[in-house]
Amino acid sequence: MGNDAGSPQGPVTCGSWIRRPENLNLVVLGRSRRGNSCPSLLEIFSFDPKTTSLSTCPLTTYVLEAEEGDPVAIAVHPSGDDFVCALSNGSCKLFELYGRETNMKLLAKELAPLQGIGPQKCIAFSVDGSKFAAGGLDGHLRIMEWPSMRVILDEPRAHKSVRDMDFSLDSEFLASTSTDGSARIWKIEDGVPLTTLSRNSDEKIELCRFSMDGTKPFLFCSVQKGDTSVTAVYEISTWNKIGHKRLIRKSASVMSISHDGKYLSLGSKDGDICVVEVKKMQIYHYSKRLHLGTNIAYLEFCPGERVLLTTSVEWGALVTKLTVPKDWKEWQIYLVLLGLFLASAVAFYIFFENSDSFWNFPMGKDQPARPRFKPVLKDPQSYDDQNIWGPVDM
Amino acid sequence: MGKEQVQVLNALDVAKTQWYHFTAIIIAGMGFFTDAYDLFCISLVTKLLGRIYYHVDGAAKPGSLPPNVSAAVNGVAFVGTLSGQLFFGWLGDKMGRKKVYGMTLALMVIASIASGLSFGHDAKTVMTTLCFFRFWLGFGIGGDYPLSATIMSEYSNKKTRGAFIAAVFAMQGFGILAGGVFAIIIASVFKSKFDSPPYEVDPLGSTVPQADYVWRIILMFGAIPAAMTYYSRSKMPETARYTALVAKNMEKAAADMSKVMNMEIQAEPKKEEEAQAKSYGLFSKEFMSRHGLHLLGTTSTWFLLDIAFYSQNLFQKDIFSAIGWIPPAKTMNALEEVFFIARAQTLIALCSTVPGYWFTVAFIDRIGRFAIQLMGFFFMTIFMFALAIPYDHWTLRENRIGFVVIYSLTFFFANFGPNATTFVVPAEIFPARFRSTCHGISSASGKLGAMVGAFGFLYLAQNQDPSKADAGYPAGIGVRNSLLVLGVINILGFMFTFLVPEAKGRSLEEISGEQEEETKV
Repeated sequence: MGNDAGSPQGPVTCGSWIRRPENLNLVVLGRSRRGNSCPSLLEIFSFDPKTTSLSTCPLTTYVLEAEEGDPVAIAVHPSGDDFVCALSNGSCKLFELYGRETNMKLLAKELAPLQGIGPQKCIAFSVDGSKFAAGGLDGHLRIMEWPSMRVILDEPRAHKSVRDMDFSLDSEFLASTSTDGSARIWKIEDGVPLTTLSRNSDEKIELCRFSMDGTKPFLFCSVQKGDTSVTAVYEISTWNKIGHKRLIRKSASVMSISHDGKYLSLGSKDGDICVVEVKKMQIYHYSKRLHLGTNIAYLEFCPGERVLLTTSVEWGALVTKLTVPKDWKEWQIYLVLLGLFLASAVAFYIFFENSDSFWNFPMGKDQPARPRFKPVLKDPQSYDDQNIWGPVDM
Repeated sequence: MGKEQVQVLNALDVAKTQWYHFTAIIIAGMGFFTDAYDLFCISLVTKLLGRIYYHVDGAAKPGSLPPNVSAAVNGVAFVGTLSGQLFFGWLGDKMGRKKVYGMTLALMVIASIASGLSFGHDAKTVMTTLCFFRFWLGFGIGGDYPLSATIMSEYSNKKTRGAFIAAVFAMQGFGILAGGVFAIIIASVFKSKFDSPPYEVDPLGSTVPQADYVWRIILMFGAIPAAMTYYSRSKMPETARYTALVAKNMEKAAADMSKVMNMEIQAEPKKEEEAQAKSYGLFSKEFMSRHGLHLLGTTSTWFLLDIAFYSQNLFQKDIFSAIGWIPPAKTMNALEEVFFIARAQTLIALCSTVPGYWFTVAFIDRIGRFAIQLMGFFFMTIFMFALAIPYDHWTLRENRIGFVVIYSLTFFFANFGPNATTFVVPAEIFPARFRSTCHGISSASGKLGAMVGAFGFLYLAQNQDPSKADAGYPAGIGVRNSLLVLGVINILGFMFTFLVPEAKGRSLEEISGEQEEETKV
């Protein structure tokens, strides 16, 4: 999709990838109301990895009622079967995806514990899909079990106003940041605060994402120091800062981690995006002005491809193929294995052809594994057998 | 499907439903089970191969594999193991281990099935083909073994990690047991359907043509646990653990990350000193003075243990024949011999190898690794000498039960002893920066010991009298002297154990001396 400024639809306010079975990826977009002619919408698009584009027509659309307000945030359950949408009227709604891609439908359900809780800035599912968290503009933080909705944490004054939050890979911690620059870590199992991240007085911790690579137990934070935005790394056993690095040139507005944990991406308030390899913290992809002069509101890695989904109010939704080194494909590995196999087959065959002395088989006429014949004395055949094998005494 | 997968991990951590943990042990342990079955089932069939393909007309003894052939058949899988470990280790670094595990298991399934096939009808083709596919089976096992360890650590519950890891490792014993049981079944079935006279009565007729199927079926059966492992692992969700936390590799991960970050600027010179103190490299003088003896301890004990362990596992049937527990080969037909060998090996596994593993599971965190390893080597030494020194006494028929009991205890204390601890200790006593490398070095030493055991003992155990040695073998030093040599090897293992510090109840930083460094500055 490209520039939709002239289209009759409302601006895109939020979006997300939806991972479906058989390596299929969909995109859900939320559009806000524009005037009286264009209602608020939720649209589902299919993604074509060959052309790196979304389908021109949505697979299905859900129209929100006027009193429901506009979609503010979307969180997709890891199973890919449903997602939660936070609305501007202060409630959250559950949407279930039904049917195959050719006749897909959205079914809306009310979530009683999330009715009338006020506008939510962030909503998120844990990696294993068993927990749900909502952070409100009023600083109220909630963590619940999913789908039972049992309350684990209900903290009305967690923050001045929630800015960002993320679950850890093992669902043990939740990190949340505030608009006043502070960041807190919550122990999910016990539903209690664990610690506050250390920072200097001139630093504001704005965004946070836990590492998705099991061998790198870190929390990545975007920190504003005056006019400069840097990425800080905390280790999650002591919550000490390991170091920081300047990656994106403008102020960061959004952060995302790839599903395999290899790449970290930042989007800026001027529409830039950059993609960083986590192991070396080097920039592998930088797009200037991808959303020209506009704050990037949402940014996320595609579950199975090296593609980014970004949205902004001005430019709508874009999918960008990343110029990062290609991962080994499975067929390439099998090709290497096949090559090794054939090479060793040749080596064994050469050995086979020259290995009589090695195997040292005895030169007996009869072997147990072969059928035996009783030679008849003085039979003409017996005479022939003798000729074939030579003297028996040998 | 998605919901099903993600809930597995949640249940694993909640630690209330024991079924999930049992399932996780099975899934993680299937790899070790498969590896053990495939590596050791060859020892059950080598005698049979000798009878089928190396029959000598007029010989008083049944045919047996020549030494170079026997070494090739037994040892080619270990060469494959080493190659596979290097290749898949490199591949795992390139593209992540998750993508690799399907390949190793597919390779194991294919190679197991192919081991039972022949490309051609003559004996030379059969043996070459067998060695070729045993190599590739070892290649797959080499890739699978470290992967099983990785999956093991990733899925272990944080609270019961030690027992979990040991229990998974103990699945090796069940793999060996399964090999023996299956061979007993196959030999019994074929013997009941295709009976034949003993070798001394009818040399040719004692090996029925159908015996050719027996060794093929036993080898090909190894594909089934490999396929089950493949199936169970494909059901696993993606990793959702910080394995660095589970494996206590926090410092290494943090150190790697700090190298690519801008550090906070500090005015204190103290920081620089501290950084320098921590930055010595592997095999530097500093490393050698701090950890050189520890590395020598872990590598030498693993090496010595595997000489004794693998030589005994692969050639215990020769010992059984030497003391009469298995009747002389000429008094049996081919299928009876397979049956007796499998029965003997299975009894040893059932009564000593498997219980030894589980004793380790129960006691490793109570009496400690050091004591277990010391006790294991000590008793292995005692029992080896108890067998070797009064050897003539044990060869009398009425004393063979005593021999079997003492021999079983040797295996028991190998497994309730160094066989388990040499795997655990190298992962605990080195600093984070060197841990995986040092464990790799120690493990490679163990593989080297396995090769020495597999190839060396084969020659040593031959009778001193050339006329009594198996066909094609030079005279050896005899079973008695071989046991004496193994006893000496165990003594060396006992002594080298003192180079390894005790890890029980101490933090990794304390053991590896990292705290000392900080205090010293």
